[in-house]
Amino acid sequence: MLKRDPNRFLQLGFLGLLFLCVIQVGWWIFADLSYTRSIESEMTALVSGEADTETVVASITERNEGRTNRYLWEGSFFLIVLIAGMAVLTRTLRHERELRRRQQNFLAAVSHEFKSPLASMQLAAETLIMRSTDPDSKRLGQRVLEDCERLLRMVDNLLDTTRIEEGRHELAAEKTALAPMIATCIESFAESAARHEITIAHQVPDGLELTIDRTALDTILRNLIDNALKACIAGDGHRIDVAASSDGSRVRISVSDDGLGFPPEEAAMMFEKFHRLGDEQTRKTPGTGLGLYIVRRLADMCGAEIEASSKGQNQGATMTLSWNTGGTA
Amino acid sequence: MSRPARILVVDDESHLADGIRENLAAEGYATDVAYDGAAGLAALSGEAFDLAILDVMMPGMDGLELCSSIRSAGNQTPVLFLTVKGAPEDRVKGFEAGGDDYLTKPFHLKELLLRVAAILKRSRWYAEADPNLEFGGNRIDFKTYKARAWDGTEHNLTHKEAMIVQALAEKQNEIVTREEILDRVWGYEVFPSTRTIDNFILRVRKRFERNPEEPEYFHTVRGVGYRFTREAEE
Repeated sequence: MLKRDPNRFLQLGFLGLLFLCVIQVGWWIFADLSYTRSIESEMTALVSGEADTETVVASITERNEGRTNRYLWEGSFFLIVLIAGMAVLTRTLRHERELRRRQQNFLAAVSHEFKSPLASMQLAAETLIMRSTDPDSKRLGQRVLEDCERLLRMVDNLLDTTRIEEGRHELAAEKTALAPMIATCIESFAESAARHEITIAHQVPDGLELTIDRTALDTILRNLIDNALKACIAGDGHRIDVAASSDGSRVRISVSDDGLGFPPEEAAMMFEKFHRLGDEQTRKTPGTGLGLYIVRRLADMCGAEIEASSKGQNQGATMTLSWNTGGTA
Repeated sequence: MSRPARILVVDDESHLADGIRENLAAEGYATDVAYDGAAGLAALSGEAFDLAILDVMMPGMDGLELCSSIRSAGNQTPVLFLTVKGAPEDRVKGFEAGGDDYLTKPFHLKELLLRVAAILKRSRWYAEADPNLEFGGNRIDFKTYKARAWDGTEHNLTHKEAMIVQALAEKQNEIVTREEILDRVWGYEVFPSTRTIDNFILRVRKRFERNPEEPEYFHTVRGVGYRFTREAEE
């Protein structure tokens, strides 16, 4: 049986006490209003001669004693509730810090525990592909390799999402030449694209530079190309174009494909977390719905605007990133 | 015929370590494997290797400790780190521990083989170059990484510092671009950034220049790279 969290009981108990305090404050307000009204009527009676001074003083003294007792007992209760509240809050904060620490350790462990066997599987698959003379072994090795790469991208996306949401994704912008960076990214998808008869073309002017965190840009580009590749495979597309340009004040990078596309009304939702096109049961593209979300978050952090456009299903899509460079690019 | 390069693989993931060994052996390298840091240290302390491939995260002694430990004992065997941690700060830790290159797991087999070949090529270039450099009262011994500066202070250079100085000294009076330094010292990989080279040059200047703010030997050529002169120049 699961052990219940003692903090939860404390928090519920504290909530009950706070509820009592609210009733008590309400009661105090009501009692103070009644007290003011009664003093007012007694003073009126005193002035009009309907009551004598001694009776009024005795009545006020009696009620003041009652009030003093109430402040003493009920005030003490308030104080105890406040101290208990501080204790519960401190305990909860400590508990939360401990949970966060454990979560970070867990993520580090997940990263290690997932990637180490993946590395071993990938190496075994690549060894088969590179060194085996048996075509079946090569084919099976290729299949294992593709699935390893897919699994790795999912693990990376999960870890990136966690890092971004915890604010642990630090950026260090530096001048980056776009042509070699984009070429390297495309190169890493070349084999996979060739297997599905998809051409990845790029058009980037030599010397075009952007001041940006390289790791973030690399992650953005890889996710966009990976997304375009999946869209081509699912939508029978055969071409992906990666283009970069500058008009002096803005640098633009776009990734277009002639694949699955999406209904134009879904453009705004493309970068939402876990957003995926269509129905989970009939979906053609693999993934978790995190890739474009990571792209959007990293683009925000890098000062870029991002836009998704498509003319409709099976008509391809274009993702465009743009940076305002103020004429420095 | 020259002897095959000897490589030690240290990784607690036995499947991965064995996979790397089989592939290196297929490429003609003589390869040994150790499955933990202590065994790796014993192997590196007892025998000569041309390259050590070290996993960073290992129980007991990790790869960084192992590398620092052999470096402090004066062992300059080139080290390639393998790790699941690929963040820039993790890479910096690897280089600070004395590593020569860094490959993130999972890696592509071709990339591992290329890097191994590149490191071995670089260390051959380094071994064949002039072992000493003297300029402006400074003396650097590239074999032992020991240097005596103009003010008489003794310095122990890191492997990377020594390689950068050697790359510049080899082309003295000529401009060496940051890209050339990256290629010569780090190989073809994208990391580290050119800013890392600038930091290394700053460290070298602090060791050997009389006034690091106004260098006389290690000159910056703005927007291009660096130029080394054996004679002092304003």
